[in-house]
Amino acid sequence: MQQPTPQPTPQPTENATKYAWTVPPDRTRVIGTSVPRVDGPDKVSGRAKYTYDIARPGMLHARAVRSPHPHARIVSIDFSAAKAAPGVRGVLTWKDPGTEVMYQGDVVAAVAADTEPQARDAARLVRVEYEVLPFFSSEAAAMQPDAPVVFPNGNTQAGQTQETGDLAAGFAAAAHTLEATYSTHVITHVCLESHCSVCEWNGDQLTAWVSTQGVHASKQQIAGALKIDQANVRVICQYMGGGFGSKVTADAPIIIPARMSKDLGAPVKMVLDRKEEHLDSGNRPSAFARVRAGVSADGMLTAFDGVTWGTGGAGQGANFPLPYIYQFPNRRRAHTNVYINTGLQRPMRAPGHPQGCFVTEMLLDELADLVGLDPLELRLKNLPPTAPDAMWAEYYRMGAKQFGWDRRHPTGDRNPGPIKTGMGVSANQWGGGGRAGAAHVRIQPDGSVLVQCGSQDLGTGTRTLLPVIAGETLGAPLDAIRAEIGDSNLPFAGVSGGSTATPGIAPAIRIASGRARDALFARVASALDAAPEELAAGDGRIFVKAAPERSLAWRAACKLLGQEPITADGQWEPGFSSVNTSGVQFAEVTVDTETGIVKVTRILAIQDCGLVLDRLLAESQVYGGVIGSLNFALFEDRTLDPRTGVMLNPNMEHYLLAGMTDVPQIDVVLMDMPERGVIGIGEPPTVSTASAIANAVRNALGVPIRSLPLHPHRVLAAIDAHTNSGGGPA
Amino acid sequence: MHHPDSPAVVPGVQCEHIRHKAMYVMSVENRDALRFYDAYDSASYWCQETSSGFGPDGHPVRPDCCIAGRGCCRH
Repeated sequence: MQQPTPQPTPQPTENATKYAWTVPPDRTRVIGTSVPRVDGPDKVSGRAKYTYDIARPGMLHARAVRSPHPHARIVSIDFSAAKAAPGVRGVLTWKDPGTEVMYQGDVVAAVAADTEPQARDAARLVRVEYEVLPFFSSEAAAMQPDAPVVFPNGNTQAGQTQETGDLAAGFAAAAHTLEATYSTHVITHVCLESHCSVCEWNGDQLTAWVSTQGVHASKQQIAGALKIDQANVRVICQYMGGGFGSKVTADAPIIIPARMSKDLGAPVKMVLDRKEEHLDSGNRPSAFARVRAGVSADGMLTAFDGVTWGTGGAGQGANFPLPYIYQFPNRRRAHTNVYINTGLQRPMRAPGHPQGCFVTEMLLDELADLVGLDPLELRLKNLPPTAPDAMWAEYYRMGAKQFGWDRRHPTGDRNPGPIKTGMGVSANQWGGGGRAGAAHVRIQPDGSVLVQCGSQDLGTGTRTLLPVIAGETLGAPLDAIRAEIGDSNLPFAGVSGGSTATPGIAPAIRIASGRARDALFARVASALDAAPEELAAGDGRIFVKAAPERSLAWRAACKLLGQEPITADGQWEPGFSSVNTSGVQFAEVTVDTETGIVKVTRILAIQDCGLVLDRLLAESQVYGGVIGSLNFALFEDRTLDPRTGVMLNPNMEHYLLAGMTDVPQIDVVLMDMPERGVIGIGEPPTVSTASAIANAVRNALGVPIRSLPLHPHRVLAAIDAHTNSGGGPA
Repeated sequence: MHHPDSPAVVPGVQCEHIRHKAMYVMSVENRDALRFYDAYDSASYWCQETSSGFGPDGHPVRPDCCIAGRGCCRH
């Protein structure tokens, strides 16, 4: 496969001027307003068909046989009992005897049966004999000098040390130094729609309904895995119940049914259950940072020396950006990936950023106290220079005013009683970008409009963005526009990931719509006794710019097309989208020092994302990001039995997520930057919340809790440790 | 320096079957993306041949080990 090659800085094209997001005398009529999701009614009524809902005639159901051991060698696989079970149609060996399983949940084999319960029962009858091997269930165990070699290239992998400036001089300039170890934990993907697919062959043509973040990417991967032409694969994903980065890989839940469907001559469906999701659909790696940092008497950061490590499971890395955003002129950082016998990490919304953000933002609050500065003041002194993609200083000042930061008390709430309050802040940054998206627009003579794009909606509202952009450009009523997405037979689009989906496809839709509009102007201009270039479109009408009263209603104009529709295509071009966002978040909490329960009462998120296409959708992205990060801070935690290496909470009963009453008031301020074009907003809002909450807890208690999650027993333990060390009651 | 999600997978060096998300994410290569922090690699990798994070030999898929000399490596 051709690897991506670095792209030169793109220069805006002629189309970027011709179809710029705002071109006088046009004015924005749809973009930037709050347009509700066009598929909202379908979703809430159940009419929307997710992959989970797909049922094909004669469909079989596949079920994986998974390793119960964190590390073992497969000695033998006996399918005889499973094959004799009711309804069983076929079996598949995924890993051959003699090979090793590297984590609990690693796929060994699969069974297909007429019904899902039959497949589940039959999978239990597959007898796999294992030779249990040494394993690691923690980073500490894998890092022991005398640890057995579990991973052939080493249980750990040290990265190259990065060093900038003069570390010794930096510490010499410090009035205060701090040494501390911070850590964040592993959390697993918890998409409400679990990983699933339905695969059906028609001759050499495969149709796969997949819960995926990329229909085109899945097509390419499936074809590669099956060694068939990509042209013979069609992937469909009309609706999906979350992905968060975990649904980019075409792995066992897709390839197993594809292979079994071919072998058995029937459609095959495979849906992971919640336990399988926790074990084998990816996770956010852990992060540990042993840090020594220095700050001058006037609050300037002088030095950062960090040793970091973390695990991405059985053989995957766990690196993260550190220090995060703030400027340490002299710094050194050495990172080591640690491999343990658990499910593998996968991208999870802003990979690496929440971890680096937590370590840095916690450190800054502690340094601020050493200097005797308000933590916000210390941050303002050490931010990178302000730029359109680096607006933290302005946002911090704005947020402080709106949030009431002046009411923040110094570290440690001295008010009587067990309930303490606190405030914290944190910043975020993300790159994003986007390219290569394509779109097709068709104006029908009856006035209906079809907009097609082979992107997919992982919950962000992509299906709604198509009519928003096309409606703005064409001037057509939104209810006349139908969007088609989620099918690899539609024009190409990249994966919905890295906050690139919208900036990747929006320019293509804009250009295709602009070309279609121009073609319509050319066809109807004579009816308005004007030249095409004298026309404009908006509010459901085509009109003469200089004399708006000379106009045609949208459908009347389209009727002039006779029997010949207008079609136009567009592809991503530079000048319509951009990269890099900045944002800040403020958090307010209460902490019950008797129970250890942290309650987040308010979050303020100030976020830029360039041109806001649909305010409602953009705000929704921020809400979701904040709640996800709140889960990271307070609830989610993969718990392993250190003795057996088995996950103890692979469910939604003991693996905790926020409920409605746990979600605080969330105020979102979107910073419009239309001149920058479209920038993705999926990732950045989820970076900061956890660290803002953790700093708010520290502000409440006067006790640093340097590791997540902030579960009640950990909060109480930290209070006890602080009290026992002579720090006084929290 | 590489984009935060685009680690060092170099054609002709790493195996042609190695995959990571950035191969499918259509992101503009942004030389400024790392100006607020140093380079790092947070990517997860998988093998096109096995559709998993382990190669045909059962060992982990990563840029440092999916290179010439590994029996299953292909260019």
